[in-house]
Amino acid sequence: MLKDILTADSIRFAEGFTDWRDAVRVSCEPLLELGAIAPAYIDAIIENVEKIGPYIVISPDVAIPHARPEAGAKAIAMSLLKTTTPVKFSDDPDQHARLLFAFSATDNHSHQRALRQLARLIMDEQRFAELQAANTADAVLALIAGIPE
Amino acid sequence: MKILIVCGNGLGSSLMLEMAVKDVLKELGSNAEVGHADLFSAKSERADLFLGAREIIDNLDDGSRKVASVKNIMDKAEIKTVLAPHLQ
Repeated sequence: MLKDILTADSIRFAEGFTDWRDAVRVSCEPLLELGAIAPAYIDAIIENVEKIGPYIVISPDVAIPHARPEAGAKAIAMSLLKTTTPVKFSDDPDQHARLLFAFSATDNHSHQRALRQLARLIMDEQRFAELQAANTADAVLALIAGIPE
Repeated sequence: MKILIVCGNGLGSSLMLEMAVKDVLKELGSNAEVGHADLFSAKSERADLFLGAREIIDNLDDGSRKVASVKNIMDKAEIKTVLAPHLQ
């Protein structure tokens, strides 16, 4: 469940970043602090985006920084970094994001339920608008608690 | 018909797109089979259609397979527009 892997300590807020790489690094800090990832995991995320393109921006305003489990994931975890000004992953405004959900998974299956819930939240216009407006960890957690499975 | 959803790592966005695609297929009354894979393994997989985000599909489109891409993988309206012509 999303509410089990995204907790208050892992929801952070920031003004903005001029380089998307710095935003990705900061979004991964809670995962590092939890011991859920090795520093190499963050490098892998950045390298993949540099190589393939900003595919981690999954829809306007939302990015999901992550890499393969073998890149240095040690546990399932998720964080949310909300920025006031959008992080620019490319020149395309649709690839700018103020919501960065970084996550780590140790296999291909265990995190699926949480990610499906995250998808439900993003596809729900009303809830997503509330998430965009949320400016406290509690407000974010309240929204997450209300997502159907 | 088999649709393979492709993403960079095979465990994040492809899973989320797969969910949206299944919703859309249900709405369109299609019983197409849906799977997901990372970009690397997708290159050696067979499917009737490979679907993913633009920059992923750009990396996969070498003329040897049928591909389609969406800009916003969480936008069911866009997914429906892209998929409909491929579903007979």
